[in-house]
Amino acid sequence: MQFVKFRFSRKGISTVTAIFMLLLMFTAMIGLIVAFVNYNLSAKEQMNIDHERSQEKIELTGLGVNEEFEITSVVINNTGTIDVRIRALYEIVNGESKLLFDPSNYAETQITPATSLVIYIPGDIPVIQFDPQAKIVAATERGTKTLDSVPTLFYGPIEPPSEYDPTKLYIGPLMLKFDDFSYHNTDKNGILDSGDTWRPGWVVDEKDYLAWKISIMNIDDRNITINRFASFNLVPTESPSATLSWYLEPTNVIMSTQFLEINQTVSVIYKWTTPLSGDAQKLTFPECTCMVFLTFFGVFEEADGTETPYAQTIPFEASVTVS
Amino acid sequence: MKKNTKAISPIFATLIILAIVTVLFIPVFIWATGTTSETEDSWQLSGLIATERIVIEEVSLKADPESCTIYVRNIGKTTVSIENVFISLSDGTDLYAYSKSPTTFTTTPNSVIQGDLITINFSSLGDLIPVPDETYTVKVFTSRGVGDTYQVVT
Repeated sequence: MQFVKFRFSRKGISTVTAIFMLLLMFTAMIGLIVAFVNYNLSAKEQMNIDHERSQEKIELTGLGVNEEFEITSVVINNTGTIDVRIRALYEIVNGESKLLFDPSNYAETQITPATSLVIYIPGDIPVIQFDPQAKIVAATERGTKTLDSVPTLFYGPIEPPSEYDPTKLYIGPLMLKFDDFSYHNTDKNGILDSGDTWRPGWVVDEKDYLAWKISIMNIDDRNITINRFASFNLVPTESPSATLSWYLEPTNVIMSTQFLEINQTVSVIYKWTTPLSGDAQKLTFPECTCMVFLTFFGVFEEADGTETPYAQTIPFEASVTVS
Repeated sequence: MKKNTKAISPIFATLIILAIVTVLFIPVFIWATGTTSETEDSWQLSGLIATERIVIEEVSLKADPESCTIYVRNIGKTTVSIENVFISLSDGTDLYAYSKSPTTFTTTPNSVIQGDLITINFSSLGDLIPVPDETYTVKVFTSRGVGDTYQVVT
């Protein structure tokens, strides 16, 4: 009789089971909903980050250099439509990127749209020498970057000035005499080998310390003073990144410059590994053919006594064969 | 006393029912909560991955002497740490895989929050001998498999 009652008394079971099931379902539903909502919020947040990033755009527009040719500041313009924060400055020299510092550790680096920010190089980081081969990179907190070469930032873009006649084989204020090009052996300290003479530079059969000599004429209507960053660059056609540069031997040793008077043809000699390093550059290429580029940096001396930055690149219309 | 047993049966019956239901319910509860927590974990992980973003800012891959330094910025909300780096030729061939260890590469710091920079320094490139003027593809992945790609010329 009791068993029969127990068998038919299912009311208790259904109530308890129902409560347990409800609790279980409720807990599970809340957990799932919370997780799903969190995921949706995360996805939306990431979409916002991507949207903000797409509105970011910055440009390097200037460079401050002191009398010792050390970089003292960089100027960055926010050309996007959203506030940006500069978080890194890099320098690229010979293909090697180096983090200089995080400017936001030293000052507020937020830039509102259509405004510029000058970032001064702090005193506690290693000196950044002005290097005409180097590039500067700035990066924001959202990973947007801008890159420009050091000479372009300091001297402005190097463009063929329109007032010069391109049919005359020059593309700027300095005209190269293409047939006057020679090299000379030197020792490690750059002293010309007394047993050698200036030989035509088209074919070089010695891999040693060398000096190069070219002739140029200032065809502008202003005098020009070029500085120690003027260089003679050999670029192997097979391996363009293995460029070798010879830097200017200045005629004015005190100022490390060379004066180029209007309408005068002068010889320019290059021999140093880095600007005024005191070590002569050595030709180390294996047998190859090289393109030649001449880069000049300096100032125009204006009629009113002021100086205007000047820069020019001359691609040599010939190649040097190293044998 | 023997005749008065009716009152005890409903109490016993209820207790027995409760006991049986509880015992039967335990495995169901464990299974159900496990399933839901797995689903919850999966959503949470998806949420973390959705907000995990890195950008390779700069790569310095040098042929002579061989060296590699990679700068990676965390631009997502999730804290990230770098686990794997792959370097290959730009056409995808000649692939070299590196996992984080003191003998291959180290990261400074180990993990970063949004907006911060991780520097990856290679102590050895293993069998990879960078060829000058060659274009290489560098891929960096976080511990949750989120990555970025960068092309660099040695």
